[in-house]
Amino acid sequence: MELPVFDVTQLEEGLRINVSAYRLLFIYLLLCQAQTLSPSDLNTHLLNHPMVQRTLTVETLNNYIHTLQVFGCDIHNTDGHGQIMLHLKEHPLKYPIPKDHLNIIQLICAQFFQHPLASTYHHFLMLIRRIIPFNQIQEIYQNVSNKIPFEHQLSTADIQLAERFQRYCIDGQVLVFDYEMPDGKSISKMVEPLEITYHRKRLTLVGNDPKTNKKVRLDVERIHHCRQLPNRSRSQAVKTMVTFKLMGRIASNYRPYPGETVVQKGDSLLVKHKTDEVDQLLKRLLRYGATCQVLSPNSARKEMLYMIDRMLNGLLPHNSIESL
Amino acid sequence: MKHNSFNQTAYRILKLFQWLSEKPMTFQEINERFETDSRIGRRVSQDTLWFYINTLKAVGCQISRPTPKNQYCYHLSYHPFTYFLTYQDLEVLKDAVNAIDEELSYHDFLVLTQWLRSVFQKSANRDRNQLETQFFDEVRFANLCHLDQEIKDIEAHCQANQILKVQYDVPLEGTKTYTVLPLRLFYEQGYLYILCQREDCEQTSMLRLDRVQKFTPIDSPELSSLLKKKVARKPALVLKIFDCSLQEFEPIGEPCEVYPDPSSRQDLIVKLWCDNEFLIKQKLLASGYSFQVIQPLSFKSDIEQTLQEMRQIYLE
Repeated sequence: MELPVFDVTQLEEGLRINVSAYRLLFIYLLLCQAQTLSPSDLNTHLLNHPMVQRTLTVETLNNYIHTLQVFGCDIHNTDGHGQIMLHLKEHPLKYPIPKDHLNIIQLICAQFFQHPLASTYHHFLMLIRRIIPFNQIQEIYQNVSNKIPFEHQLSTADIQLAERFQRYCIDGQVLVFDYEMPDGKSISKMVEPLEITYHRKRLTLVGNDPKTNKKVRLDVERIHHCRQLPNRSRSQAVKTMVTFKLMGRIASNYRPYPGETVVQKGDSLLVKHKTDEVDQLLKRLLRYGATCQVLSPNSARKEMLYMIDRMLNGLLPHNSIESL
Repeated sequence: MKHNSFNQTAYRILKLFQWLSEKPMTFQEINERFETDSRIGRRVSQDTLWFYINTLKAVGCQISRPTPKNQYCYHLSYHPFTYFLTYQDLEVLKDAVNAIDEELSYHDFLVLTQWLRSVFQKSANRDRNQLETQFFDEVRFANLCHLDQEIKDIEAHCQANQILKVQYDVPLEGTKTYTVLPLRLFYEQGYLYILCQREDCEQTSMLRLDRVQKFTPIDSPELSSLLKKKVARKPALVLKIFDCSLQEFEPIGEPCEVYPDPSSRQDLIVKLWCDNEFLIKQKLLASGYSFQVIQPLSFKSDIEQTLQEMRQIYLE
């Protein structure tokens, strides 16, 4: 671990300080920022510190740790692979956060929980652990961990169904099932499951179609006779670069989505967006009306025109699109 | 680890630090705390207190001297006894807020912004202000911390049906002045907007809060009731959504009534009471539904014109 930021040059010359208390405060600082440290690491940091430049005996270290404990620090000795480690679990300067802030953290945890971003979720939890007191962490865990985050929106039968498909996603094996199309006909499908989400009041299975390498979203309720194949998911969805132009007010207001690159071209913006879900992107672009034009690829332009025509078909008398 | 005696001076310095982290304190108040603490039980001299404060300063705390300006208080403005935000932490926070960006309500947006600001301000990073600015530049919503007071004032004006004269920076057109009845604040696509009824407009308007240069309350109960009537007069918007079951239908926003079309059971009739047709138009376009506007005809021709303009772009 790096040393906490110490700017020794900023200290006033001839500043009278209590050297012993200074060392103790430095140990407290190290524990605040590292949370877990071995006594030998601690001594290395003390030795390298320009204002300390020495190590501590076990007795002195015990004395300092005990002082911190009397002050209110919850410091435990933990066993880190055969080595004694000092772990700062809680300290008096970590104040509880307001209830509504806690709710927002829960909302973020729930959102992360819906996506297979395990490392990001884990890192987020580690960050939160450093920021808020342990009892509030427990409260978040109780509300989020081992639960399906959108549970409050679902019936008991839906929860069971969601849990079943969530297990399939964790297993990461190819699924084969019959999928009921909107017209009632059934087709056989093969999908590599990625995640289960709740979208448009429907449980949705997001996965890769191994034949096309495209991401698909399927209504879980339309899935019948589902079974897992012994082979594991291997393919990756192919990402498409969609380029679109934004004009008028939206061009001056636009805040790019993650991963988008934006180039200003006169009064308009040229945006490049790489996605494995082109349909979802196009739906978002429809919202910008005639101030947005998809430039490439051609397939996306065609799809955009198809969606516009589909909407116009509903609005206009029959066959009038052809007459436009 | 064997517990033994503890370091008295260090303990006193730690307690002083803890009290100052709660609030600024005078020399007298600090000594009262020293005297009542069961492990200390005595007062300290001004010199000793400075000795303690110097020790805290040496470890990185910023404590200002007592002056008449701060009511002779010792004020702890910064301390490093907290977490350090790393580059990786910032990336995770960005992922986190981008993941919930679309889900946010107006209230959530305000709370999330407050929480993020507190995460930066309470961190031990010396460049935390710069990190905060950089962070908000890179996420999909604006940091409106400088508008805290304006948000409170607008909320109060909405509650009180208070007419406002608003100086507004219109993109590509410059500053314009509107007389408006503010209805509510709402969050959309990274920004806060005031939904309002303008005097010179039949439709409700959306004014982006950060573009409002100035607003002044005007005392005019007559105009307030006139604009309120304008808002109340809005007819329901009736849509027919094709090939969509009740179960599949996701509300387009606003209070709405949905039932299967009696003449064709696979379609839905949706009645909306919207206070902003522009937002409904955007949401309807983004929904991907195939739909028909039954009423009002003005909305039907508006959305039809938009779709035809969109279509034209792809035929060129």
